[in-house]
Amino acid sequence: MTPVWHLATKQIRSQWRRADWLTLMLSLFMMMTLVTLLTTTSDRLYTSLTSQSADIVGADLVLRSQQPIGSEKIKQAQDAGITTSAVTQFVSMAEANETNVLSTIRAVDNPYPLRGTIVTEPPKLQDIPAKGSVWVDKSLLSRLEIKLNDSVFIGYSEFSISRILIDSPDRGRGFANFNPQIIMRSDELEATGILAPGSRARYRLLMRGEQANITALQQQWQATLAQGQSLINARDDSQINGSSIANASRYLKLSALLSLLLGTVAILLSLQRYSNDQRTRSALLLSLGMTPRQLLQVYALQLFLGWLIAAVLGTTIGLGLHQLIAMQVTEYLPHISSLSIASIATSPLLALAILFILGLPTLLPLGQISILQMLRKETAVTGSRKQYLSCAALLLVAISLYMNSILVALVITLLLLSLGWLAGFVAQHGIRLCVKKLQGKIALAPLLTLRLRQQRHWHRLQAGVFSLLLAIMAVLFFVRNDLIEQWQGSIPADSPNHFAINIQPWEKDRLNTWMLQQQITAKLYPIVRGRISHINDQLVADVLTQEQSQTHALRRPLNMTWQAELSDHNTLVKGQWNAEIAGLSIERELSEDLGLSLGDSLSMNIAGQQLSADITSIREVDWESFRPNFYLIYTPKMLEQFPLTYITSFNIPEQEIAKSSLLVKAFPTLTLIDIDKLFKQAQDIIAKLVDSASVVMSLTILSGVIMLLTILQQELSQRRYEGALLQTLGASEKQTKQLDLLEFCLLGMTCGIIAAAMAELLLAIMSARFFDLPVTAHPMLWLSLPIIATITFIGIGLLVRGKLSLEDCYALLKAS
Amino acid sequence: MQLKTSLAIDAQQLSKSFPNKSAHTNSTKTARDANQTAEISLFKNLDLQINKGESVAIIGPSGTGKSTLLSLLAGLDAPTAGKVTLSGIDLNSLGEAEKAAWRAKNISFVFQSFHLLPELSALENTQLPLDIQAHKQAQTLARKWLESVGLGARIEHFPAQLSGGEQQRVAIARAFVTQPSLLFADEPTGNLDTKTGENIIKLLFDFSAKTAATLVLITHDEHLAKRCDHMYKLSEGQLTKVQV
Repeated sequence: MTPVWHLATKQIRSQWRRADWLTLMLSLFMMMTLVTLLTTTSDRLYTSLTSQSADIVGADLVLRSQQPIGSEKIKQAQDAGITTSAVTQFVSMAEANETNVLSTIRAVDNPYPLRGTIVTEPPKLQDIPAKGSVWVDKSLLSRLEIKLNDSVFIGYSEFSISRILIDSPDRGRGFANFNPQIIMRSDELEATGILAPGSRARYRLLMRGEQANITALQQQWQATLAQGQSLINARDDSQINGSSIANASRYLKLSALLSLLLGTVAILLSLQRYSNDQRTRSALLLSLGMTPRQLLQVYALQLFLGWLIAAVLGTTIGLGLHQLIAMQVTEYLPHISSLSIASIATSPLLALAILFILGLPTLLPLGQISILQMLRKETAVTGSRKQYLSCAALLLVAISLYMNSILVALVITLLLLSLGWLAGFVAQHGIRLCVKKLQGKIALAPLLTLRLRQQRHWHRLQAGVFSLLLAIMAVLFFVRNDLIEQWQGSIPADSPNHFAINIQPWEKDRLNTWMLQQQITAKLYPIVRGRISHINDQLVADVLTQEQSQTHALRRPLNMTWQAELSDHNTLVKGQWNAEIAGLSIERELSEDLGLSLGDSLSMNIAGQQLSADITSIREVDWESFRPNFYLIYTPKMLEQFPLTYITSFNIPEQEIAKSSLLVKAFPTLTLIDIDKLFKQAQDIIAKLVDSASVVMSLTILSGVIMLLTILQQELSQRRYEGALLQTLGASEKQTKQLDLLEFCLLGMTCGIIAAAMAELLLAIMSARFFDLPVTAHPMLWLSLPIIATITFIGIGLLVRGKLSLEDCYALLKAS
Repeated sequence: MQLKTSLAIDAQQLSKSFPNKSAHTNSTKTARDANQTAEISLFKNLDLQINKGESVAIIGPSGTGKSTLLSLLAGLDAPTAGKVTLSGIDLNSLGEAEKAAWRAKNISFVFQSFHLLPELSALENTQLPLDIQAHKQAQTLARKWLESVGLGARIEHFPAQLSGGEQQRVAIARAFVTQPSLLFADEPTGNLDTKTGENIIKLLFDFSAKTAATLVLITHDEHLAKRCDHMYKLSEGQLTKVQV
């Protein structure tokens, strides 16, 4: 064993009693726990949602389309020596036991899938379900309260459930993923009567073959893709454009950044204090003949060993928490990819880098200490400006590497720092103002003023960190508990609570009669779907500005209808509605987004055919009416020649909810969407996400508390010294205690008030922007946050402060 | 409540002993030490009478308990046996708040290592004892005393911007700002060079005389001690008067 190793291990054993070493380890541990949790969760969520590997898309190349894929495409592929398989995916009702569940159904052909395998229970014998049977997700069974080999109705057909799906490629993308999945045979699709021209469905052509053939075909097709078609090559990562949930998973990394910053500050402070206290020891070791190089090796080794312990613990606990969260999410995300070593290793490696970067300005100067300093205490060891600057630069590099973007790292770091700074600044001045008001009213006021001057830097840091954390926590809490409910409560009770879509034209009259019999008021609207192709006879791409062409409505098919009279939840803002004159009425926001005005001509591509019409009016639409709404409404007869379905919405009171099963029973091909259920599901998902976020936030708050502890410890000896001096100069022990309490109290109150103000502002913005709710005040915030903050500060303060009796004071002064 | 007495300090039969091995700051030593027998006696049955307005030096080698004696005399610590009365008042018979208030009004200290709070300016450091008493004229008085010690031009300076001698002057201003009847100086020149120390001592004696304060000086320096009215030597638990 080398002397360096020997000394380092000895030192680390004796350090555990030191408060600064403990806080250093605690901060490291918290940082690694949190960053492990966030990194693994974010990485896993992201790969689960965006991964397009062959095993996940079920093929080497996939052609996605919103229209049925023509047989000439299939022939082209097959001629090129490529195996194909066509998939039709749609959302419809699965019904059994008088209950119905919105499901995502895939109608497939042999062979299927072309890459990857479907895992079922019991294990499947063939590629696709046998005639008359379907394979379904487990969650469908539980929601319909049926079991394996029971029957389920899809449209007009009855199927037996022969297998449970455990895992399958080619699940499709986005929120359709959240419904239970069903796999059926495509040769049995027609009999269900669900799909007809104009129905909503997604079509995919899976392809498998030699890489060269695949690439050649992809190149050939890429240029001639129709609107609404896309090609996905499983080998090509570059075309991944994440869905919004996938993007959301990246935001997890942003919260990791918050904990990184907190941890960094706490580690820096602990290291500074630690190195300050190691001066005498270092000088002693140097005087005994150790070289500065060896001395630094001892400290480096000691830090490394400390890191190792914290890394093992932090990573383990972080992974455990990740599993907890993953379990919550798997219900909605059946295909979850496995954890990669890289994402597990990220956090400990990042922590190691940060630790050594921060050691640069704090521990490096220990090697340059002079032996004289063993005798003199007054000169503090600090790193040079250059060292601190390079430390900051290196930190930024590390964080940028982690965030995968310098810009994001820089912007978010600056944003958090400036928000924290602002909160700290306001807090410091708030406290000063309070003390000014107290001047002359309480005897301690002048001392308090001096104390505030003395502690101002620390106050700023503490208040900044704590207010920010409290505010975020409070917002999460209120979003989880109040906002969604409040939004739901704002909807009139008799608003429609069901939508029926995919109503086939031949069922329209029968449905109307049925509704009448059941005394349900429902108006059926025809729906035709098409994409905007030309504006004033010019291609959309040629006339719109860059910003205009980003309009979401251009990237998806729009629902169109025709009406003789405009519905009453539509208000004309410009032009006239005259059913006799051919024309169209456009929704106001869309017209503004595309820069359209009265008299402009708009051409739609509807299932390959063109339809042009002039804009004769512009409407305001009440989107929250829970009634079918349309961007484009045409005058009667204009759309009649196109494939169409009908849509309607209606209210079924809770006590008559059985009518909804009757409806599905009578009209098995329509898709019924229960808005109340949808709300509950959304609320459930949001609650789970917020709960997961709360785990993260609680841990972050905990690291904030550790940082407060670190800060209080930093100046603890200073505080004790000051207390001793004050008592020697004639203050009573009670007075010094009161002074501390008063200071913590003020600090807590101010932090709480600032946090409440920040949270209130954030909630107001969220209410107004995302939920369209009137902005309301939350008196609970203003009451609870100051109390929580005050209790926290006083608690930590008293914990750290300890008792200082008069007898000890003089001795303490003599010693310092 | 001050009694009519000519004695500023009257210490009778003063003893101080400590549990073994914990004869220093840390009162939290473990029980492990307690059973290692008995106590260490620092001194026994000391008597000391100091008249108002006198200056008294206590000398003695390191470790004999000079500073402990000082904290007993100043009412910072309680004796194991015996009694200290200051201007006729037994501080240990007072409640904590009363005791603190009495000390604040009547006792001041000058320390070897100055003990100025680094974040406070010279003025703020000086007014600190008056702030503790919530004195209305704290700032005015502090300013006046800083001018008296010759630092009128440096009142906004922070300790780090002042030399050792200047810092000790601030400490002297802080000591006199409360117009104490008793001033304890614990090695006031210990951290200063000879010439600066000389000036500081001059200030200390001048002001004590001017304000009729009783000065108790603890020092190693016999030369300095000789300037006092009386000199005592603390050695091996005994306090003996030395002829000046």
